[in-house]
Amino acid sequence: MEIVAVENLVKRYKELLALDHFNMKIEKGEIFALLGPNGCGKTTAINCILQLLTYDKGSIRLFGEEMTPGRYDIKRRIGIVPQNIAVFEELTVRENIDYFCALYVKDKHERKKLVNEAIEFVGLEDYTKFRPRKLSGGLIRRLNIACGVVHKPELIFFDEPTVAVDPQSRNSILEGIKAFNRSGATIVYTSHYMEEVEEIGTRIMIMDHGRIIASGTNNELKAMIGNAEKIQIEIADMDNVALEQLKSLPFVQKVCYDSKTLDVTCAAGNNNLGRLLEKLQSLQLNIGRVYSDPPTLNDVFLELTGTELRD
Amino acid sequence: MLNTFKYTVLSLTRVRSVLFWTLAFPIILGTIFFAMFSNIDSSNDFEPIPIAVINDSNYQDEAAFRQLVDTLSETGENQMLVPSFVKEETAAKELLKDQSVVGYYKIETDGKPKLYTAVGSGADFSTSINQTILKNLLDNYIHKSSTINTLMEENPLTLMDPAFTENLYEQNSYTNEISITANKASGSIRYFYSLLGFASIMAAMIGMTAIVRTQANLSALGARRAIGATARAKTLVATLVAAWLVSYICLLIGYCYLSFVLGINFGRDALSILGLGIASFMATGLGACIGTIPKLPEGTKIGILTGLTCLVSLFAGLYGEPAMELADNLARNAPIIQMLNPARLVTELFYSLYYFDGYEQFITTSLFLVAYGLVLLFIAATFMRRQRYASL
Ligand SMILES: Nc1ncnc2c1ncn2[C@@H]1O[C@H](COP(=O)(O)OP(=O)(O)O)[C@@H](O)[C@H]1O
Ligand SMILES: [Mg+2]
Repeated sequence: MEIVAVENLVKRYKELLALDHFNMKIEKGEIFALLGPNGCGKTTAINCILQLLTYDKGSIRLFGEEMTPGRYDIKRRIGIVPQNIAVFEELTVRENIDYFCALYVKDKHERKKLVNEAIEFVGLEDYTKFRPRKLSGGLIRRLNIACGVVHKPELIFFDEPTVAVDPQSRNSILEGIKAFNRSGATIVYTSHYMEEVEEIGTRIMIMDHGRIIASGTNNELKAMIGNAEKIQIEIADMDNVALEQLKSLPFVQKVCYDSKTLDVTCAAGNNNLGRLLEKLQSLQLNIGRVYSDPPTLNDVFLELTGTELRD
Repeated sequence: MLNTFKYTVLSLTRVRSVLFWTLAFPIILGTIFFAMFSNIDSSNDFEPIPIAVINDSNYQDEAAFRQLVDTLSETGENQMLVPSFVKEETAAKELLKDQSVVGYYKIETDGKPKLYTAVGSGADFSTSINQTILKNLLDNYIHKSSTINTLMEENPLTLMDPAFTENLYEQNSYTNEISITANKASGSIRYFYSLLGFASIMAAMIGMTAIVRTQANLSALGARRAIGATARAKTLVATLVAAWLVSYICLLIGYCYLSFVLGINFGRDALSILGLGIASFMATGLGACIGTIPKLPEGTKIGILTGLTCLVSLFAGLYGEPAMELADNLARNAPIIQMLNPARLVTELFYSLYYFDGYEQFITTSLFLVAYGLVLLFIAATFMRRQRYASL
């Protein structure tokens, strides 16, 4: 049984088609990463699933049951870390976490234990009496996370939890998410940073303009596209004759030279780099540094949409 | 639900802008009023009026009038007159001249009492009030005694009914009449009633702030809370009760400041406190109503509410004589508008406690305010209950 099953979800904001027959199936124990540029519809999808937004078409099932706004029993099993910080400005760190915990847990003693654990988990022990205003960007994100996960939910949505966060906080957030997953929680993680998604996603779905572009594991996605490798070589003097010779090699897809560096995109296959260097040597060119990059999700995105994922 | 209540109270009492508008601002305004009025009228405690009475044979013949003067001169809370009895009119004139009395009563040869006061523009504000009171006292007496005379001629049996005579001579009926006159003259009390009205409407800010934070389409916090596993109705009820309580407390603090620090006498304290509870209930409804308006940012709503408060307070007569006249005119010519003016209603609620001995007016206004609050909450509820939106 899927923990999350979304079928043919269509959502319009007036004329704008924000989700176009969006499908998503998530199994228990996954870290499901939703990757796409800003404005592609990630938050909209989450808000539809959580019944904050009305939608025009489609079905949404959570834990095998149909989700409606009144299903508090289902909501009890869900944690949400929203994209926009959602805490009480006037309450302290501890009061905020306790408030959100109380939305799910009635028992006072149990709550106290959970709140302490959450504070420890996000590392806010030294700030429990602080108001959010006094916290730095990274710390306030951590508070937002603590509020979302304090009741130990089975399914947690993280909507771009690392936006505007320093690298150190980002790493600890990602580690935290992995820890939740290890302790049994299913994770839905959205981001427009492909590095993060590659790092933590057990399954990745790439979307653009409200449509699903591709989905699968990291390796599956990369195998989908023809180009396997990008090779960059520093070469001082190279003429058009040499360039034409390179282009005629069977495994080379694209060649680019700007009088200093040579960029070669290769098709999938073994030992592309070795064969390329062999050829260059036979042309008697002076080779400087050599870089070889395996394909990234950006390449996948580029291949499938024709635009760069990074902006 | 209890936690929502607890944390809503906690957070509301820490919102600085809310505290300023609902707590500090009325207190500051009250202090300014107090400073302005303290030299105009010394207080609303009624000072007995010094008067001369010519105690001649005519006076001795009018037993009823003598009774009146004696009753009104009895020392105690209800004392209205401090009489100096003189034998001759010249002596009374002397007293009047050196201003040790406001006027004198003389029984004319036809047995009718008459009031003599100093004429001319020299009379200061309080003297002229006192003159008016003395005149009203006398008119009242003459009116009633002529009623009795007529009755004696036409229907003497009525006079046998003790309830009727009691009513006629009951001293209370005089003091009542007089206290109306006294308070109209000492107009500053009206400002403080208007101020209570103003503060009550300002307190709507609290309900508004609280509600914005429960609405998914109005705040990120509202959206986050809507996804929580606590029933919507519980969240809303807890939030509204918390907002009511906080605004009530703010009003009580303001009231206590006016009453105990500035020493303004609002009349019956217990009922005033009940009245504040009713006023804050209505204000919570108003705040919820404005708070739920979709699409408007919170800052704009604060602006709307502040503007509205100032406007309705204008028509409730907060800003001095001309505004009070405007308020009275509006009440006469456009009673519906004034009836729906929440500030005016609250002002009237407290008025009724001070002006009328009975509870009828107070109860009527209270019920109207409660109904008003319920209607506002009902309107707000149609928005508040929503859980899903077409866009956030
Ligand atoms: N309330 C709204 N009204 C109209 N358009 C909206 C609204 N919210 C989002 N959109 C649009 O819908 C698209 C998807 O937005 P969103 O789900 O927030 O994207 P993401 O979370 O992937 O950045 C964007 O083009 C955005 O401009
Ligand atoms: Mg988003």
